[in-house]
Amino acid sequence: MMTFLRAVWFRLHALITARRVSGEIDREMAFHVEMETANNIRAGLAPDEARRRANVSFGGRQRFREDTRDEIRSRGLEDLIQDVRHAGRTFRRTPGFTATVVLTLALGIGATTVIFSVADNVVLRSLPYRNADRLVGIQVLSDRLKNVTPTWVPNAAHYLAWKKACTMCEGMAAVRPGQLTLSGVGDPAVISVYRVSDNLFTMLGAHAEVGRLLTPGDDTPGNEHLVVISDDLWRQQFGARADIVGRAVTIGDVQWTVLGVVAPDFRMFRGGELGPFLRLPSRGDAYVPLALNAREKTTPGEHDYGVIAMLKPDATPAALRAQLDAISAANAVALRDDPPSRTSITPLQAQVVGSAGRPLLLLLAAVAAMLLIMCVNLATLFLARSAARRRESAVRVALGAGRGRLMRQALAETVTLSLIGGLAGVVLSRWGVRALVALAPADLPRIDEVHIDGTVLAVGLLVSVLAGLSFGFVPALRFGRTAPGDVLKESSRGATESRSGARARSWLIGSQVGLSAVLLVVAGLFLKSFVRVLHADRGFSAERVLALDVTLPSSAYPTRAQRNQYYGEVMQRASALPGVSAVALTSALPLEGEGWIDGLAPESDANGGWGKEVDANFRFVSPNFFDVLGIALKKGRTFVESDRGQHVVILSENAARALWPNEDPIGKYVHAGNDSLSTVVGVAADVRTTGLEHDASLTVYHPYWYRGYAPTVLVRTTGDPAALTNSVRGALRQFAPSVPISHIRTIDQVVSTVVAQRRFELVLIGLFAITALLTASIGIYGIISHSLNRRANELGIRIALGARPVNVHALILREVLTPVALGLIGGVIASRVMSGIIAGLLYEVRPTDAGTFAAVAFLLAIVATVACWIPTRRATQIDPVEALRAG
Amino acid sequence: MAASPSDVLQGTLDLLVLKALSLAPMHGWGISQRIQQLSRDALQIGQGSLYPALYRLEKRGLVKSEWSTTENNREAKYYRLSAVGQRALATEMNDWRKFVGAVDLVLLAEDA
Repeated sequence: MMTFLRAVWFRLHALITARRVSGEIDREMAFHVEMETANNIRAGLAPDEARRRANVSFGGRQRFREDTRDEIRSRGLEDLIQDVRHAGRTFRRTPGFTATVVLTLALGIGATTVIFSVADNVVLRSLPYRNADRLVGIQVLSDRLKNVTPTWVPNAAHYLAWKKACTMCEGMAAVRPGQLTLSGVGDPAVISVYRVSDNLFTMLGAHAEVGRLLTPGDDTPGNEHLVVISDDLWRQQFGARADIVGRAVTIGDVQWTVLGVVAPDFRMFRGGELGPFLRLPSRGDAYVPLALNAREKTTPGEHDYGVIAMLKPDATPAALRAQLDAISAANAVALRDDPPSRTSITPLQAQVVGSAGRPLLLLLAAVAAMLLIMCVNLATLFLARSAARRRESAVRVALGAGRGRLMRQALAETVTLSLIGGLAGVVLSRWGVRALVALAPADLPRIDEVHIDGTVLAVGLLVSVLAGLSFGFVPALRFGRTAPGDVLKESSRGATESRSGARARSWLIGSQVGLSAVLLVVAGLFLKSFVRVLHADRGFSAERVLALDVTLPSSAYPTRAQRNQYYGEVMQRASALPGVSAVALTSALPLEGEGWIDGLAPESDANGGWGKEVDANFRFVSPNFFDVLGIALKKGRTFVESDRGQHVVILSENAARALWPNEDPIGKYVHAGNDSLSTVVGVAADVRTTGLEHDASLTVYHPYWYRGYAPTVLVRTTGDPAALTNSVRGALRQFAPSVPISHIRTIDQVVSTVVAQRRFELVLIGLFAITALLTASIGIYGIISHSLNRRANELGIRIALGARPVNVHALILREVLTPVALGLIGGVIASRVMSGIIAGLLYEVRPTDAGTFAAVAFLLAIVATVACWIPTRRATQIDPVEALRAG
Repeated sequence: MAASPSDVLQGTLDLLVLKALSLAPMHGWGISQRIQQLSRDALQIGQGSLYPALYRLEKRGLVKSEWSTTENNREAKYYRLSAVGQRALATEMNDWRKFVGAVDLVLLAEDA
């Protein structure tokens, strides 16, 4: 080690003092020769002769000076600096070439950095919780509900039983989201209020910004009305006042005492992170103790609690699952759970990332493929240039430059370029990330947390260097392998291209085509899926509909009659607005998920007995709901005013079929939930409930007045619905100022949100595929025109000997289309493998879709032909005499 | 370029230089004179090739150098053996003797 350090020091020192040392050697040698001369004179020689002999016996001074300098100088570093300087001079001489390379690299590395930063934040990085790797999400698999959802969040009874008996976990916490109205400070606002178990904050390692958070022991009778608020709410509604602690606030018409403010970096779960069925709001505004009441503790049907646990360090998810299943089975009777439900334990990280992981990793693969194509392309460019510089390298070899040195110099050029490109790419990626975040679907987990940080920068840098090495390697190898004699001889008189040149060309063309094929096939399959999704039968057809949610405070509207009166007035007032053609009410919009799920059973006999029960979505709608959303009534009629006071329902087609497979349901009776028998008066078309890619759920519609519950108002307009936002909101505010209005959106936006993730993936994959295609076609064009330039002689001879343009075209096409065909074959095989991997991301498109594969092959063949035809055409127009003379 | 004979002798030259310096610190010319004298003019080392060897040894830390004045008041660069060089000299001399001894054994065996 010491020796190594000394060597390093010596080199560094020598480098710094190189000039001085060089002078020292000269002085030292001069002294030596003088001493020798003096010695010779003492031996009796004449001064001139003495000096001559001294010089002879010393030998070639220049050579020894070089040798000495070689011994001492730090070869690597000094050569590297020299190489980089040389590269810089080369770049300045060829600004066009340099700009092309840097731009290509900036785009490639920028795109890679952007996608990596998204994947890193969304998929790879661990959640910002204490011991995040030990947190798991707990859901149940229920046979009874498997038609509705694969997994289901637990009910309170199971949660309590598990929490009491679990020995595998350090803690178990539950949250239940809700919406309540905050009043008394400014306009009444709907805020999201989480009921959370008192150990949640401690378990996740959250800190208070002001006051304190809920801690174990807070969830005891008498403490029900403590509240912790979010940093956002504190700043927006309470002006970030420090005296917030202990203050009384009114939420949902009840007084609460503020305990503290949670630190702004606390990340609450959102979306479907705790289970696909439990839709969490995008932010938490307030947190109150869970305070389960007696009904909640015993009602088996309320699967409304997100449950997480922290495993003990030595426990595994599988072991926890076995234990929880055993607890469920042991308490099946008390839990009213027969057969006992089984649990599903997922590491929280995986559960939060959920289905977003695979598409992102696919995008990462796609961007890597694109980068690879760019590298191949740049290798082509450099190869072409190194061929053009063969004379230079030949001369330098002839003058004694080492091969290793030449190769290293070529590599220094490419690495310098790719570092510049990478730097530009990282700068570009800052904007790229912003654009991407804007484009990304809002429910992509953690997308709002995406930013460029050290890891990402390091990856960008690494990619740059690797790219430079990879695309510089082949040209460097050839540069270094120059045989000076051959080159200098060859260039004086025209020769055909060398065999190795032709082989390298074929590889470059083939690999570009193959990689592009894979990207294009994936993009094609995604495009086809996207089109299929958009054309899926939604069950409704509505344009120009504005939807908004109204939340009736129970203090102002305690009775059903009062709420119905409000709804009646909403419809009447909104209908009177100019530009509004109809107003309807519903408890939930299509595509926005399941709402209220309960049992639905046919009356099996005249005595009111129950038939086979199914689970169905319960919806509460106004009579014109079907008309406004364009949902076809297949049988019977919609609700009418005279149905008030009667028990009537409309079934979706699939619900009717599930109850009475071969009978006309109209006029039959059903048990819907716990209510008395209702008459089926109509059958409506199936409507997609949870998304365009999922089949419609069984649905039963009640008239809204039955419960006085229909929080979503639908306004059909004659013009652009968004333009009426303010007038509708104004009309509603005017007659009921205490009712908060939220979540205003058009029906188009609802559809757009549902396909947002698919669109996001398609846009990016499509972008990469198009870039790949462009890059590959430019690459092929460049390779061919370069090779034709070098073969001008050969072509000149052919033409002089009577070859017609068509023959030349055939010759060149054959040379190009062979590697293209081979590349396509390789690409198709690779695509087939890739499409198998992404099969789960496709919608109603088979991964072997022949149309897509054929279209891609055809497209690539055409592009390759055109890319090769243009330079060939130019080459056939050359004057043979000119070409031969120029050679 | 073919390998020059000096490459073969390089190790030997290093050894000779170290030995010469172990007697007294001296400058380059002094070293060449001393080797010549000690070998009774049998070893004529290429005077120029001495300098690459000296710088190589300095880089390996076996010798140290400093500029100082000769008896005639001339500026010259003096080399001296470092502690590491002293140890290296001992090892290399040992190796050399083993080598010569081995070669001798072979030669004498053929004689007999």
